[in-house]
Amino acid sequence: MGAGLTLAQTDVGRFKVPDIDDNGILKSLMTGESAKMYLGKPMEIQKLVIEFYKEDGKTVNIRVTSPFCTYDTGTNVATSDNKINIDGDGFHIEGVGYVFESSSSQMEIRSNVKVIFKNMKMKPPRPNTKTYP
Amino acid sequence: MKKHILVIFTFFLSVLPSFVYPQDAQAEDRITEITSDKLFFDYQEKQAIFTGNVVVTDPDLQLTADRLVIYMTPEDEIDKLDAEGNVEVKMEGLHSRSGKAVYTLGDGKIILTDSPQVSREGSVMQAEKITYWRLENRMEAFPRARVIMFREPEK
Repeated sequence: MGAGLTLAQTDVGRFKVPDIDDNGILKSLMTGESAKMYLGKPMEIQKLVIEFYKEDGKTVNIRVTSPFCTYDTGTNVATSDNKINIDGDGFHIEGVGYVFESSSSQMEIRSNVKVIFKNMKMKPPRPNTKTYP
Repeated sequence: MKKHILVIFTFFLSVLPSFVYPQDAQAEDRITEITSDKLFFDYQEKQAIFTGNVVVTDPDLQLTADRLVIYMTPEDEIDKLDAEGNVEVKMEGLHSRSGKAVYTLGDGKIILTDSPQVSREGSVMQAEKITYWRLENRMEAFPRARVIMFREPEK
């Protein structure tokens, strides 16, 4: 029984999973310090990093990091009770516990949410009321 | 018989010194912080839904609510804030409480509904719906508008 479980588990070391579009441009890159793959179960990933790239396929647009998550390769859903940090141009998101559906670009953070916007406009631009010839 | 009473609320303007709009240009980064219990973010729909103990802290406004939906523009800028449940907004000398508040950044308009009231300089305004235009520093309340003014007793 125990031997069967051992055979069903595959340990993967440091890994990289790129997502490349039809034109050969890198859309995202998932990396991890290590992963354990099981038959019929989501894989377990340590030190997850997902980088989403801009249209040039080189510039990182959004970077997601988390110390641990499970990832279902069939549904492309990552789940974790651990911390998550998301950093992008002008914003930072953090929280604890999350579900991320990469196929639909939807994410739920379950607790302790903190979002910081840098230089976000929270009021309309003031129109010029006076003009001089 | 008029069913709807429209009040162009110039009272606040006459009571207060004219509001001087602060300069937008600032050398340092301005930070907007939002905290909540939960967050659901849909990048394709450009929506972020914050629920539970939502607190928005910004140099221009402070907002608390049970639920806040932020609608983003295609350029990832804030387009509209839609707050529900025990909503409180503080900005520019105003302090509002309401069940709902919708703020559109394009025109700087805030619509308060669900038993709204706005306090400013010792006066309280109530109505079924209160609309405030930030750029014009103008407020409209209808129907059933009511203003309560407090005076300190004369010595």
